[in-house]
Amino acid sequence: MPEDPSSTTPPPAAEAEPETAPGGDEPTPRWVKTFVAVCLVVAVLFVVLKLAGGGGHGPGQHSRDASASGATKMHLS
Amino acid sequence: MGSGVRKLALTAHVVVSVGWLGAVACALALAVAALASDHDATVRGTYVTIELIGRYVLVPLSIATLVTGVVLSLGTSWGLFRHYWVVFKLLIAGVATLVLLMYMQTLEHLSETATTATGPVADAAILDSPTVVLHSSAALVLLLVATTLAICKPKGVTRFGRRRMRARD
Repeated sequence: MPEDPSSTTPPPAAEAEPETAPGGDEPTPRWVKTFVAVCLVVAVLFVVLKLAGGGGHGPGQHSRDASASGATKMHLS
Repeated sequence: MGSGVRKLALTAHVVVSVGWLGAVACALALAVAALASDHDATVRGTYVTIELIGRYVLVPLSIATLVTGVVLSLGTSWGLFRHYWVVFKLLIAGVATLVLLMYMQTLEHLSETATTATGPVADAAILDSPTVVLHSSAALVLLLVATTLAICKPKGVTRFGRRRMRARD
């Protein structure tokens, strides 16, 4: 009985061999350029929002917000 | 790295990294519940729970993800800097871990506010802040991207990888 090719399972992704190095210099893959571009856009957006927000970013900001608004009505009994 | 050790390292890495993703999803669900609820006890308990998850689950799993990922990369032919998908996964894990460690201060502050405020929690404006939702959402997206990279392993050898492979040949 001929072997059913559909029954041949490919090796698990984790065990797949890494690609071998090409002979010459290959251009950077498009997905890498897209990934870097998206990261740069997100980073720029973050900086713009931070500058537009005018405040710091971190736990100190929340402390300042709480005391400035007078909303920290923590009356310790 | 032998086959058995490699599988063990891979198993450990998958467990901690997917566990980290799951814990972030839990934190996001809790944060949304805290914002949506008008019930004082729910809001207080939720922020305390988020801080506990952060301290005892998120931080250990994030560090374990970094460590197991580095060990696995160095112990296999994939290497740590030879392939773009590995480099990006390393960057994602590193940045996410760093931000998490810094953000723990905020979570501790929120938890402390939730437990010490004796008035209605609605008076503590900080507990109305969407900060935890925003940070959890961003972390979830990052970890999903990292998981996708790990499964798909898109092609792309770095210059360092090409030099190493040529030297080996």
